[in-house]
This record gives sequence, C-alpha cells and structure tokens, in this order.
Amino acid sequence: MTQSAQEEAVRIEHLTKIYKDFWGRDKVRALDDLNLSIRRGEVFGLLGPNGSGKSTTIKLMLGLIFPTAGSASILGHAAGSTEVNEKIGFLPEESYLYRFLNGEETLYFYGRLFKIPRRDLKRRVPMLLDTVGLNAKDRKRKLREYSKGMARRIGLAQALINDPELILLDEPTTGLDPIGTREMKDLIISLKQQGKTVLLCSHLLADVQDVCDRITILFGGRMQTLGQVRDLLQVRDITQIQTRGMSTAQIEEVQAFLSKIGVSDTVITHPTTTLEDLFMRIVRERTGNGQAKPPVGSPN
Amino acid sequence: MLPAFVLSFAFADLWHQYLPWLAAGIIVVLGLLIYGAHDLFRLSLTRIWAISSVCFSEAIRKRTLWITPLAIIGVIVVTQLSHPDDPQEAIRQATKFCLFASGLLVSVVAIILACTNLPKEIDNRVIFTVVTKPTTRLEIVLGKCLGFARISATIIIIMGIFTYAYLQTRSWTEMSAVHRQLASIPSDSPTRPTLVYYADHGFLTTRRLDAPENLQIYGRLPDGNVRWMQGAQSEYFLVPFTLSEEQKDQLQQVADTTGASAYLMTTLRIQQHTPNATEQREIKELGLGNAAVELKAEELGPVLPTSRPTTQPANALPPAVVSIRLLNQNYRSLNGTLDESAGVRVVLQQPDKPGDSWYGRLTIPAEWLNRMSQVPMFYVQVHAISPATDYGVEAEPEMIFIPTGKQSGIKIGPAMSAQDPGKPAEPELLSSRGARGMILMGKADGKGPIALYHFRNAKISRPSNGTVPLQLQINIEKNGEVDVEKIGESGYAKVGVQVINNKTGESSGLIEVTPELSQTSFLNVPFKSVEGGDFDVVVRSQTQDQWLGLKDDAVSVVVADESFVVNLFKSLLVLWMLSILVVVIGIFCSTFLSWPIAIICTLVILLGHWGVDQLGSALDPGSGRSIATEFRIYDPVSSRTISQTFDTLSHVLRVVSNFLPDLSKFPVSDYIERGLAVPLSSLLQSLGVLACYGLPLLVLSYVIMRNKEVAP
Ligand SMILES: Nc1ncnc2c1ncn2[C@@H]1O[C@H](COP(=O)(O)OP(=O)(O)OP(=O)(O)O)[C@@H](O)[C@H]1O
Ligand SMILES: [Mg+2]
Repeated sequence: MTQSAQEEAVRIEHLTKIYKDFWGRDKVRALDDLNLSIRRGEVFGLLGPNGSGKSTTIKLMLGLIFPTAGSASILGHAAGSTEVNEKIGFLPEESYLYRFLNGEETLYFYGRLFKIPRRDLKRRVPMLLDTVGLNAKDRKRKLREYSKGMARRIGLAQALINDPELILLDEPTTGLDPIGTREMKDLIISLKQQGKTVLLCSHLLADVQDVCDRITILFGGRMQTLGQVRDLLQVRDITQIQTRGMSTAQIEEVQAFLSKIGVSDTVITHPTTTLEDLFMRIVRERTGNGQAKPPVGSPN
Repeated sequence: MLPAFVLSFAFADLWHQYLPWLAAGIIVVLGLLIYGAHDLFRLSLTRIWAISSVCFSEAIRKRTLWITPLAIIGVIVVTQLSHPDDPQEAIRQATKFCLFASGLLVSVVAIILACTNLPKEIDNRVIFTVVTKPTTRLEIVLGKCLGFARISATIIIIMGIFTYAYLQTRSWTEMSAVHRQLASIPSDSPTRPTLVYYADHGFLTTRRLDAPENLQIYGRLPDGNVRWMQGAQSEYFLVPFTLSEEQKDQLQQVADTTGASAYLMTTLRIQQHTPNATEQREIKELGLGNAAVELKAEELGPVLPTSRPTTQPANALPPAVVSIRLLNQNYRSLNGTLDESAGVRVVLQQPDKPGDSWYGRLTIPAEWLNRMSQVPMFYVQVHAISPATDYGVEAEPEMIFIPTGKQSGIKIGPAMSAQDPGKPAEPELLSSRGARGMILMGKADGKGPIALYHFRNAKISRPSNGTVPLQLQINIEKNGEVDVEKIGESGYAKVGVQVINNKTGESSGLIEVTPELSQTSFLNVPFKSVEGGDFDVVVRSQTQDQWLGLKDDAVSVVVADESFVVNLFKSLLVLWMLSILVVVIGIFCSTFLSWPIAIICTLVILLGHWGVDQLGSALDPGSGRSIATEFRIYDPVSSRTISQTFDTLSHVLRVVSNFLPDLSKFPVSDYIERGLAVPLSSLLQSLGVLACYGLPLLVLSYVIMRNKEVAP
C-alpha cells in the first residue's frame, strides 16, 4: 500500500470524528478510524446510508471541522490549509451560496478569492456557465430565485472556477433532472480524462457504478469495504455458469449432477448482481436485521 | 490591610493608563506575528476587498440603507418640534440632532450587521464555500470588518451631506432673524456684541479656541506675593500634602499615643474693615457676633456659644475665623462627612506686632491622623469665614507640626510644586462649587470676589480690525430671591469683564456684559490687551447677591476661524472610527456567541466604561463606609465586612471598566455643536482608542475563527 505522494491525491489515516455536545460530552461517533488513500486521476466513490459519515469525511478533508484523532492530507498538504484549497473544488451537499448575488457575480466573487485576474475571469465565467448549462437569462438572476437544479449547477460551476486538481462532490446529482444527471456523469468522466481526481458521494448507486473506478462503503462511521467496482461486484465463492438456451430438462440434469458431486444449495438464475445488491447486503449485515446472510444474487 | 489596599489602588491607577496598551500589544504580537505569521504573510487585499464587497452588496440589496431616510425624517421632525430660544441655540440643537441621529443610526446598523453576519453565514453554511477557497480566516475577519466599515462610511456620507445641507438652510433663515434683531436693539445693548459676532462670522463657523491655563478666585487683584480672599464669600484655598512613609508613621504614632498631639498651623495675613449693615447681619447669622471674647485659640466643630449676653457694639470687628477640612485627591471630604459646610473652625490669633501674619492652631483629631497616614495624598481646605475680613495667602499657609520637646518639633510642609520641584506647591484659591460651576458671589459695583482666568502662550495672530473675540459661557448660579430664569431675559444680571495684559500692563477697561443662561456670548476686546498671549481675564459679578457659576473654561479666546465643512468632516471621521470600533467588537463577540447574545455582549463592552463613570464617586474607596452608615449598621465587625466587600467590589468594577473602551474619547458632536474646531489631538485620541481595542480584538477574532469548526 505504500504509494509515493506523487500518485496519492488523498491520504486519510485513522481519521476519527466524535461530535461533542455543549458540555464536551461525546454525542455522536460520526467517523471511526478511517484509513483511505485516493490515487491521482481516479474517480473515487464514497458510499453509505444516511448518517454513515460521508459528509463528515468530506468536511474533515476540507478543514471545516477538526478531527478528534487521525489526520487527512490532501495533495501532500494538511487538510484545510490554503495550499490545499488553491487546488481543490468543493460542491457541498446543498448549494450554500450568497443568495443575493446573481450567478455571474457569484463566480466572479469566488474567482477573486483565487486571485484570478479579471481578464481571465471574463473568459472563464461564461465558459463555466455554459459547461454547467445555465442560460444567459438565468446568469443575471439572483440565486434566491434559482430552482434546486439551477442552484446545483451554479454550485458546480463555483467548484470548478479554479480548474482544480481534486474535486469533492457531495451528492452532485440530487436535484438534477435526468438530462442533468447524465451531463453530470459525462462531466465527471471528462474530468477524469483531463487527469483530475474526483471524490464522489452519492446515493444513486447506478451513477457511482457507471463512473467510479474504486469505491468504499461506509456504515456507522466505519469503512466496510473498499476496492475496484469490478472486483467488488465479483463474488469469489460463487461460480456462475452462463450458457444460452438451456432447456428445463437440461437444467434439471445439471442440478442432479451437481448434487451428485456434492454441490448443494444451487441456484440457477439470470445474473443480476449490481452495486445495489452489494450495498444492500453490507447494510443489512451490519444492521443485523433478521436475514442473517441473504443469498448472493437475488432470486429475481 | 487597609493601607495596603489603598496603596495598591494608587499604583493600579498608574498602571491602568498603560495596561490596555500593554495587553493590546501582547495580544497583537502573540496572535498575529507569532501564531498567525503564515496567514499574515499571504494576506491578500484582493480577497479582503472581495469579501468586503459581498458584505456591502448584502447590505445594499437587503435595503439596510433604507433606514437612512427614516433617520433624516426623524431629525427634521424633532428639530421642527423643538422651540429653541434664539438662533444660536437653534443651530446648536440642529447640529446635535443631526449628529446624534447619524451616530445612533450608524451604531445600530453596525452592531446588528456585525453581530449577525458570521453566525448567520455559519448557520446557513455559506461559509463552507468561502473557507474552502484559499482564504485565510484572517482575511475573512478583515474582509467582514472592511465591508461593514464601508457600509457605515456610506451611511455617514449620506447623513453628512444631509447635515450640511440642512444646517445651511437653517442658518440662512436664522441669520435673517439676527439681522432683524440687530436693527431693532439699541446700540449699547449688552447682547449686541454677540449678535454682531454672528452677523460677522455666520452660524456655521468653527472657532479654534485657546483655553485659560487656570482659574482662581481672589478677593481682589493680587498685590505683590500676597493673594487675597474675601471672607464669607464661599472662598477657600487648597494646600496639597504628600507625606513620606516616615511622616505617615510619625502621624500614626501620635494617633496611637494617648496624650500626644499634632497640630495644623495656619498662617495668614488679615485685613479687616468696619462691617457694613449687610456684613453685620452676616456676622450675626454666622454666630460670630459675640464670639470674639468667647472663642479660644482653637475650637472643635461648629460649636459657637450663644449664652453670654453681648456687650460688643454691632460694628465691632469679627474674629478672623477659618474652617478647615481634609479632602482626598478627588476633592472629596476625608473627615467622614460629605456635608460641604462642615469643617472645623479655627480662630486666628492676632499677631503681637501689627503687620505680621495671624496664626491659628488646630489640634489634629486622631481620626484625621489615621486618614492622613492612609491616603496617598490629601488637601487641606481652608474656607474664609468671617465677613468684613480679607485673608491674605502667602507661600506656605498650612503646616503640620508635631512637638517633640519644649522648643523642638517636626514640621511637615506641603507637597512640592509640580512645575518647580524645588518649591512647595502654591496654594490654589478657589470657591465652592454650585450646580453650574465655581460660585462667584456678587457685591454692588463689583466689590465682590473676582475670577481670574489666566492665559499663557495663547497664539493669537494680529487681527485686521484690531479686536479679538473672547468667548464667554458664564452661568448665573443664583440671584437672591429673584427667579434665575427671569434675570436672563430681562438683562438684569451684569457681569464685568476686564482683560489685563501681563506683559505690557495694557488693560481693556471694564466691559459690562449680560450673560444668558447656559449660552455662549462673545465680546470683542482690543488686541493690545491680549498681545503676546500672556494675559488675565478678570470676571466679576456687578450686582449685589448675584452669584455666577464659572466653569474652568468659561472664558476662552477665539484664535482662529476654520471651515465648517472641514470640521463636519472631522466630526464624521470620529464617528466613523467609533463605528469601526463597534464593528470590531460586534465581530469579535459573534465569533463565539450566538447573535442575540453577541449583540448584548457588544453593548456591554461598549457601554461598560461609561456606566461605571456614571456611578462615579459612589465607587470611590471609602464609600463602603458610608454605605454601612447609611444602612445603620453600627456593629463594627459587620460594618467593616460590608464596607470592605463594597470597596473590593467597586475596585474590581473600576479595574474591569478600565479595560473597556472609553466612548467619551470619541467626541462626535461635543466640539462641533459648540462651534469649536475638533482638535487634531482629539482625532488622534479616537484613533488611539480604536487601535488599542480594535487591533487586539481583530486578532482575537482571527484566532478564535481559526480554531473554530465553522460547520454548525
Ligand atoms: N454537527 C453535528 N453535530 C452532531 N452530530 C452530527 C453533526 N453533523 C453530523 N452529525 C452526525 O454524524 C453522523 C454522520 O453524519 P454525516 O452528515 O456525515 O452523514 P452522511 O453520510 O453525509 O449522511 P447523508 O447521506 O444523509 O448525507 C450522523 O449521525 C449525524 O447525525
Ligand atoms: Mg451527507
């Protein structure tokens, strides 16, 4: 697991966050001993049910909150430092922007925080607004008048204003229409092609499955699994034989043969294993709600 | 225990002046130069300006500035409803209202914006997108500050333009009233000089004044080294004493030893004249009529015998009596009672050789000795009591004497002079304070005591018309049984003013003026009488029983006229500095408090110093004792507990308030409303307070913000 800092975009070690109440007593253990490393140029998915600590991880990586233990280093610098902030873009889970500014002013404001010269901003701002799909009329409207999807788009544009190396997207597709969702996925893929690193939090597992190279699933603040999407979805102790056009008789014959050689508990079905299955299985296992070990691959 | 406490108090006083600066310096150095060096180094004006611009747009787009016209309407309504007596007062009030409204408006807006902004941005998480950009928390704090400073500047500019326009129109209308009045009054009217001054200079002028160096009340013009007081005219003199530790021990020893005594020796020149009818009555009222034979060399308390029938003729000379008290450094009575009239009477002894000084001897009560040896310094206050008697004060009129043998003893003289440490401090000749200043009692034809305003090094340039305006703010304290309000109107009260040049001896001659209640009047005097800048202005009341109230700066000389616009600008600059201080305090409080509490906290910090000042002498050391007496607690133990608890509490309050900013250092309308130029020193003083509190609070806000989780 030793990777040089060159290849590593994010390195999280033993990261723990316990929210305290007013009197300093522990309230919620939102994140528990998380170890994670994200390579440069990959699209990384952070999955988990509500309240599993995804946003907490991102906030820790941004220095918005401070870890109870452990550390996060981003692009070789400590989380929250201005060196890091120069090179990252962040789309929060909701659009937290100044609602009295219009779309264009918003981008100019954030651009100036990066000290981007006005000349460059004049070029960049319309380009970004095109990229995220805000039309000329909407750009001049105040953010408070924006629809949820429009706010999401301006939020994304704001995250990209500095052409960041690492982009943190907290549930980027919520509030977007199907076309917007498609565009978002395309954008993430194009960012990857430009060699950017993307950290993606999402509930829409299909999206994650489509764009992510690697994922991790969090539950109750702990990492449950980590790996290539492909590998994770491959189930090792299950052998699947795929053929075409077997008759019922042939299937029965195969089953009989299998039981003769001692293989029991056979399910012969059409393969539908998806990320959703994996996700559900992990969540169910950890919750321990009845179905102790659901069969792999739902019986359709 | 008590002396140590008093001593620490004295030291604390000295420290308090520099402690805020010291604390400020330490905070700035530690917080900014050491802790925040990295952030300081990459400070970017672009980012600060961008953040401030967002604050500014927010205020504009949320229509915060719309309350400015409301304030303007408020000012117009209030000034229209008030009915000032004369044009000058009208302009003064209008100026005051305008600046008061501006100040109130700016402070309220600044407090609300500064206290709510950060908590709100953290609450709705807009701060997320700002702090995840390469902005440092220092830039955020500074940017917010600058943003609110820009908002208050905008409000101040709008209010400033309105103030100028409004005052200009008011002054035009009032000026026509002045011209009408000038045409109607006789040429020798005592109100004329003031009207002429306004007709010449306009209302919206700004005078630069030179204030007198000091004010003394004399019985008559001094001759040689002897300065005179008139008896029974509320006049007294003060002699400061600063005892060494050794001297304090000696006094304490006398107090502790039975049979031992220490004396307060009084040496004065006395001149008496045959009492006239009024004075004879006064002698009777004071109980001095048959006392000449009766009173011994010293007498404690206002005990005057009335038993023995008098054989004295009515016009006999009264005994030369003085009344002696001890005052602390704040001129509050040290010997227990707060009653001004109470003191110990001492009858002065006639000298063996006529022409020599008279002397009096007071055995110092043990109580006094205790107090003397506890306080850092005290004054001996000597009132001239006897009518028909002039008291001449020379170099060392008071002396403490502790006899040690038949012929020998320890002499303790007054404190050394501050200007000339080789010489003992000169006694100050003053008179009792009334509601409106030092009382100057009047006698017919100006025979009463005189007030001497001493000017030194006044920088007066040669005027083109050969005269220099004096500004007078003389009040009428009391006029026998006549209603004070009426005198002002009828022009009954007459005050004589005379300017004497100390270098050339040139005098302006006696000029009679009519002061009006709490008003500024003007008087042109020949330049020759003030040339060189070293001169005395002698003020006397010309009417029997008419008392004047004189403040230390009741007489001043107008040395230059300045532009009103510039002065308005300076006043508004002071207001702006005040608003920046308010903003910084607001931001500071809002970094760790929710906004409603931050607003309250800001108000407490802003008004704390003023509040403690309002409590004033109630917090003086020793007032705990009077509290105990007031509540009739005579048990010594509980009385001591109460008085000490109270003293400690008030000490703590005072110390804490010393760390809070003093808003009186921001004289927004104090100068301009009186038509005076805001002095540069006052601007610098405001800037000093702003720096002393603003900088460290900014640094603290930054440090807090850097260690704060900005997620709600
Ligand atoms: N400021 C806070 N104070 C106390 N507890 C908090 C705070 N913020 C988050 N939590 C708790 O920490 C846990 C993790 O929250 P987090 O927001 O990271 O979840 P998430 O994975 O982003 O959920 P979602 O999918 O709903 O966005 C939750 O139990 C949440 O209640
Ligand atoms: Mg979340």
